[in-house]
Amino acid sequence: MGKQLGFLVDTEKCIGCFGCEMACKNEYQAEVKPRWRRVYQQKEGNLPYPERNFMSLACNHCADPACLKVCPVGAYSKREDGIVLHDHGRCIGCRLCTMACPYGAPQYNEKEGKVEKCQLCYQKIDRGEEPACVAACPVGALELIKDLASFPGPGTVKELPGFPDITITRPSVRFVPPRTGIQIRRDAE
Amino acid sequence: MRVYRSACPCNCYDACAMLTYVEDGRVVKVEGDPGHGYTRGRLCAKGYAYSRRVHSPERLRYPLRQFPRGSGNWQRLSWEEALDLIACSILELKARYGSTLPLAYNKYSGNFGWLQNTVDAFFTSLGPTTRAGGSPCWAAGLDAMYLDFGTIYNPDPEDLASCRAVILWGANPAWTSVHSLALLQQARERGGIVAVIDPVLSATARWADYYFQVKPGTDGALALGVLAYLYRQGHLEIETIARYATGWPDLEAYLQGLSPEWAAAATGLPPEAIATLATIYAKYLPAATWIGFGLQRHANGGQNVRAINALATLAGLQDGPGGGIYYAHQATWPVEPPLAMPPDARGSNRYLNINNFAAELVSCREPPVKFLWLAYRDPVTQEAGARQLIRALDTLEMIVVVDHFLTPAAQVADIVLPAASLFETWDIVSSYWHYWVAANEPALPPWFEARSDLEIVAALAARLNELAPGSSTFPVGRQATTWLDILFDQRLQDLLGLKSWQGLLEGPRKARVPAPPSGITLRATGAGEAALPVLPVYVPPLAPPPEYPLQLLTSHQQFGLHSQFQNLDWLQALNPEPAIFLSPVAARKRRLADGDLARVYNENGEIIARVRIEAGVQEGVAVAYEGWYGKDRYQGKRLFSAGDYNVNFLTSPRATDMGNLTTGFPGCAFYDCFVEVCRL
Repeated sequence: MGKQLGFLVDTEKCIGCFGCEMACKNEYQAEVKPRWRRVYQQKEGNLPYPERNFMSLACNHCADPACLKVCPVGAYSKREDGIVLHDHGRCIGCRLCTMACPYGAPQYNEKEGKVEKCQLCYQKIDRGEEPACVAACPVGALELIKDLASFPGPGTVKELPGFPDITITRPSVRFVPPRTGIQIRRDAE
Repeated sequence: MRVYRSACPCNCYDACAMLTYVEDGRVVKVEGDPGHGYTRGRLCAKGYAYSRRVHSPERLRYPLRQFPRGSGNWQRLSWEEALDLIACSILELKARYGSTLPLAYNKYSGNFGWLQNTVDAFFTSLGPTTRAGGSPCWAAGLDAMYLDFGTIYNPDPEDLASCRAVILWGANPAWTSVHSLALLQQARERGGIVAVIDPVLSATARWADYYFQVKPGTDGALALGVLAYLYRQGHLEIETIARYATGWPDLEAYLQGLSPEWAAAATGLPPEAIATLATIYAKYLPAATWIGFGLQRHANGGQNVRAINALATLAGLQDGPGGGIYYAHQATWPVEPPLAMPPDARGSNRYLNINNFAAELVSCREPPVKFLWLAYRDPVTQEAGARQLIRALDTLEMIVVVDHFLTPAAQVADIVLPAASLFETWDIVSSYWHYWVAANEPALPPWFEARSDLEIVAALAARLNELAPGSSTFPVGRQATTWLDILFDQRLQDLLGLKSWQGLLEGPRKARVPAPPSGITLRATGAGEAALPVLPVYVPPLAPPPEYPLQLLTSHQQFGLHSQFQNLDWLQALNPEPAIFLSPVAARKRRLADGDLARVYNENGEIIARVRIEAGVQEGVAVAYEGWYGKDRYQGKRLFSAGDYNVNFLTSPRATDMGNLTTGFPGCAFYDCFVEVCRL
């Protein structure tokens, strides 16, 4: 196995604008569902830091992908650069992968009777371009990690509260945790 | 696949330039234009959804007639039939009243492309007509700028990146100007800080270094309290102020009576917060103060902006580049090209306040208004007192709507004409915020029978002249590109350093930023003439009546731009139904749980919305986002009847204190709206 690509999600910079999610739709002219990339917003009170609560997630192109392991028809493969590819032609829509993935990345398309997921814009990667979501972020909160093994990532963490257990599949995602400012609020009870 | 230059013409700070990828006559992708210096190749979530708008199955394809009005009984017309009906109505009214004043035109910000001016020119070409004047958006704040500085000036917002402090006063750019966040991010990376002052813990406030939650409409007390504190602490450069500011001694006398405790009581903040904000203004220089449009949508809105102007100017006199007050500008906007009225025309246009349009429409006499052309807006969704507007519209004999979708306004019209989108037309787009200007070229063939607004009025003018020669002076053969030649006048050529607008086809271009104002007028005699305080003293906001204790803020939504975009399927998936946001305390007092359906009501009417309990909304406030006219079903379930949710069923056409000087009419105090909420 060569290098492993991944996403850096800077929740300190993220403003929850959903530009990444819509840019993904725009790039592939996808239907409303599935949502290959999703911006999750967590309610205040669910987190140790009360305020900053956006997490932009897609397929994490795991080092040890559960989808690949459970697929009965070999629709999943892992490229040299670590991208987990899903072969739409082979997929039989059995949905085992949707149950196995801790992150909800593979999603069932009711219309087609097959599963879909983020392919990390592999055609763009092969042309030396950035994934559509990364290129769209107005504040640089989403980055492509070129090689996870040598990613120094000062100030980055492998998981954040609310993110599923990373020991199952070893997701190729890193986070910058949020920082909360000084808030003088009138909504205290 | 071909790539075309596009420019988003919506009412937005960022005014993006786009690259549009077209294949087989369809938009297959839009991208930000990396040559646009403010938006740098990125779009917002709405912009990325453009392909769903231009090719929406719900987009209007043909001229339609509704008979009877409001019945939902729509009949397809040919363009000839539609234009004949409209032309005959115009000519019959002109003959009946011996005047063209029964013809009214109401437009606003649905498309801020320069060619919007051609529809104004068409109405001028008929003779004196009735127009909606003023602005629902920025009027009070513009007047405050004009009174204080004698001009409307916005610094170059790209300089925000070099500020040590950016104070976002009532602005939520994380939702309304995403590209500006990149500049604020840069300021932070260079050691600067971002502070947000807002009655609601907005997405921007969550992201900021400091957040001050004020009671709505009390911004002036905070500004003056901070200014008085800085004065007491000896942080103001009094000698410089005396030179730069006229009327300082009067304001100085007023400030001597103010204390942090007074400001704290008025704003609901603790007294220490006054000192904290004062420290930001005193220590972090240069400091930029970005005044949003929301806080001037109160009966004391203009006065509050004047107070902030005083603080930001007097505290920041030693500022370097980037410091100062940011609001908006009109420097790169074209002016309506002159066009003579028909030789037999007498008199001048009659202007009705766009913010009180319903009442002024029905009280119009000699002659009354009988015909209305609505374009570039949906006032039924966006105008305060929308129920009154619907009733007022029903007194008219002919209502024509030009739009992309069957909006609520279109649903009460007689004739609806399908408008071409930006992808099917020429245009130029400038911003009221940054100084970039971008051209828009046609990228698609016409959508079914849709036509540009210019083509529509040109065809109508031609038909009018066939039926009654000389009734319109509109140059019917003039192409869009020729109109742009005319609009791109000497002033704009100089600002952009271009001989012709075609230079913009090579890429967006930045205009020269005008010189800043040379001083501040603290004692504004113009205000006195308008029966307003001459000094930027504090005027308290309206208090809620006991029966309606919640102040309803109907701010801009995230997934739409006023009444646009939010109806598109991609965006509706993110924002499937309208909600009323309440504080935990306010919800508990009313025995409301998150997810309940609630009735929000006051003396004007009621709306139905899903309760969302959100820490970050203060107790006396409720928030419901404007602009919704989405589908009434979600996941197959009927939740809302069409018309169950329109925040402007609750608002009143209450005037702001200012707006007359720069827009001709006061603005609208949308946020002085008081409601009660109960379970449905």
